[in-house]
Amino acid sequence: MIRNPAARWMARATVCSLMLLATTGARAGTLEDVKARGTVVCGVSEGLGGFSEKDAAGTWRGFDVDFCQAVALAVIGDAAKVDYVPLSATDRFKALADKKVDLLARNSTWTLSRDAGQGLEFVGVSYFDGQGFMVPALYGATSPLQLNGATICVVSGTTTQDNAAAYFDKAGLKVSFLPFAERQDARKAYADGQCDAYTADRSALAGERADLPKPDGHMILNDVISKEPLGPVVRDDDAKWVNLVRWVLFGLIEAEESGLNQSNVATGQATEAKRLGASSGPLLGLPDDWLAKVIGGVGNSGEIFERNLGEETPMQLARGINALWTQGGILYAPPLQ
Amino acid sequence: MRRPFSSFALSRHSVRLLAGAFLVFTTAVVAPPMARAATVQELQRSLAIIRINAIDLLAKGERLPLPIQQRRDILRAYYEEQGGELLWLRDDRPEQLVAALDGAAADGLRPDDYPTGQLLSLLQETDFKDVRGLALIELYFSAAFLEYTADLSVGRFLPSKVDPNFFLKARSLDQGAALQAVATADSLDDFFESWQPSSSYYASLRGALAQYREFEAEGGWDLVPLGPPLKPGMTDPRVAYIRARLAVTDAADPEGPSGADTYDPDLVAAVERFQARHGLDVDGVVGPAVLVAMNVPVEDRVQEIVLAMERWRWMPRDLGQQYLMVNIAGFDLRRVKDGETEQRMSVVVGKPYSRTPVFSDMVRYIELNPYWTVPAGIAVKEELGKLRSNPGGLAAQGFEAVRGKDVFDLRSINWSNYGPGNFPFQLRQQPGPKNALGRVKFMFPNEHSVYLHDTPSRSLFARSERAFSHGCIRVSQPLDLAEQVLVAGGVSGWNRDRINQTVATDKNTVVKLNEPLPIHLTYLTAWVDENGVNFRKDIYKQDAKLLAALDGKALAW
Repeated sequence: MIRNPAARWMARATVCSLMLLATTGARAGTLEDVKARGTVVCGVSEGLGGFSEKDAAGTWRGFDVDFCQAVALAVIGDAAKVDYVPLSATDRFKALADKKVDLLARNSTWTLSRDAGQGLEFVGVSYFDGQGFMVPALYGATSPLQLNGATICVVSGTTTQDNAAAYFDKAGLKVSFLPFAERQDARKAYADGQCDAYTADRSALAGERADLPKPDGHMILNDVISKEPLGPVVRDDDAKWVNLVRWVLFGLIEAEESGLNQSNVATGQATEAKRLGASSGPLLGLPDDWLAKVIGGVGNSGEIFERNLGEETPMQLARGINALWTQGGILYAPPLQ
Repeated sequence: MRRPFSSFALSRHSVRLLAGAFLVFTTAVVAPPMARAATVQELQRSLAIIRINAIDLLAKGERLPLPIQQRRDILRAYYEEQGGELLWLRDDRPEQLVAALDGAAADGLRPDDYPTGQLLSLLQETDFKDVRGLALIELYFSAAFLEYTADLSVGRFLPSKVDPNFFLKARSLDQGAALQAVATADSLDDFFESWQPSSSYYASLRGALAQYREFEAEGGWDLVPLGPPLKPGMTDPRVAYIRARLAVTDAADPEGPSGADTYDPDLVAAVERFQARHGLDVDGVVGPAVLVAMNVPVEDRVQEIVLAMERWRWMPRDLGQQYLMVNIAGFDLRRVKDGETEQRMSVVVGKPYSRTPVFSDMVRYIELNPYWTVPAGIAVKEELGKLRSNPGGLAAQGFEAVRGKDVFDLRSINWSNYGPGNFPFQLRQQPGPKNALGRVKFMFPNEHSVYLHDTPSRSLFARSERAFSHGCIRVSQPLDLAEQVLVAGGVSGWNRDRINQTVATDKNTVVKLNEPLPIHLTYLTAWVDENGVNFRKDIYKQDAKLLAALDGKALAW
């Protein structure tokens, strides 16, 4: 899902707290700001199942939240030193450009115009998403190509409907769309049986499915009709910070590939984490034990996935293409050397 | 194209639940608590009300759930018809349908593709006084039934969508007829048996599938270590491995005689059985090709059987009382009459880059002593040089040039006057012993310009893999086949002597069949015959394509 850019005011409370931050850290580099401030200010979603949402106790949790914490662990050594700033789809890039956040970890699709047009930089891909379809399990459908004649619920104002329309057009199938401005309304219409199918990014569908009255009564089809590579974003005018955030992401992936995980780092067996951290720390402006801290705090890329999105979570997402390149997926990091 | 998905496996337990639910259903409909004594009359009246509701749902304009919506007209036509009674809310029909879908694997289909768990919970959760709801359940069951019947009967894919080399006419299910037929079938098993591909080829593959699934369940077989060719009588530690491997599929004695490392005659016989089933030279020598075939895992063999069954769904339901069938992957042609294979012979088929297409057609005539016309592109590209430098050489092989009705000696033309874009001739080879098509061709005129023919270069038939042609099919016993094809085609007066005499004249002779003979060009890497279950290499990589489609791997997700 790629939102069309449109101006909208951020929530008042957020604006106030951010003004303060923006003024304190106007000159120095982001890393120095973060160190001086003692917290990482991380832009997240306003609530997206599995990626970033507040649990019942008011604690932020999710795949993107863990990435914010990984950065905090690398720089400050403490996962708790994160200020979460919920941002709407339309506000997120401006908030980052205006230095209201240090980074975005907010299910954002990497595209050319976002990377090149706005002074921003995607540091990599943390999650390979793509648009898919959810249908009632009772339909017995196994492919969107069986949806001829269907009415499809969709959130308007994004590329989602266009993608789907192009897909069905190419397949020679006729479908009609029922667009809604808000996600909740689209979900409700689908749950009420007004639509035969619901289309959105598959990660979002997994969250929507978990929120339906009977999740088991619905299934997400395997087919993917668009590329939606999601990843953390930073400003492109601070090369040091770009590198730091990028290599935290790669470090999580490299750790999984080298067999480093939360438990073996914690029990001190993982000299590998220390070795990797010691050689890369000085180059990134980080302490030697940064990688051990990160993995000890949030785990490697596989652990982050399974904890927030995996089969055992309400999201019930299979790792699929998001597995390591050595395990049939396409998740890949350059060497930490 | 469809994709598999993980759904709800139906357990025995849930079938029992369904039976329970149905008991509730019949009790509620037939015998309200106040009047326990159920009468047939009451049941029929209740069912009639549900049926009227079903018709009403279908007739009204409002949107229905997609599987029903997509079949709205067909369902409406069925239920509105005189005698278009309910199909599922009766007897143990729901249980039968769920059990059939649950058993889809026996036909090489995937049970997870069908929403059995959901259909069951529909029944379990329904309010049996809600006739509208019951009508909808009836329609859901009908939709699921039609979906499964179509998959079973005509396949899950359009052949041409899976592989551009498949030109089989797309078959579609006559859904109205299927509804009518299931209404009167004694049991659903009877119905599905008569709607699955009817040929014995399919039925035998179904048996093979069960057998190989059993091998799979029992752990398949271990790899036989590679090594130098093993010949009868030799002693080798690998003999024990071969023994164990062939004990699974080719009735080798797993123990063997004493001195078990000796490659003894009984094991040689088992190896030869294996070789015959895999289209390998039957010589008892365990060379690299035999080892490679032995070491194909059982899962892959199961998959090959499943793919062959899927391809049978694409075939015409009626192959013909008599027909020719070429299996491209088996390099083999058979002539079948009344279900019996009367003649089999080797064939040479197209190279992987000039693949023989898959389709069905009719042999309409044969040509004895055919001319061979060099395809226009090849004539200019490959022959022009020879025409300029040594037209006599080509003339000696019987080639001549044709322009309109005039035939020219190649030596009478100044070929340097002609070239690409200016080549107003057809180059053809006269009938005779050197003719590239040999002594006979079998014509089933088609858009692919494919036909069967003889060949003067017969050595290729001795090879076990025979994909050498430009797409046409060369047969190993052409005159025997010609004799029988003429008989099958209802042409009288053409015995073998007359064929031989005509061939000896070198004169081009066309013999038209009075009754065209069906011919089926197929691509099957698994089939069953007197040797057992046969497997062949996927020479055109068409199995790989179909499998990718079945697994939804066209998009890597």
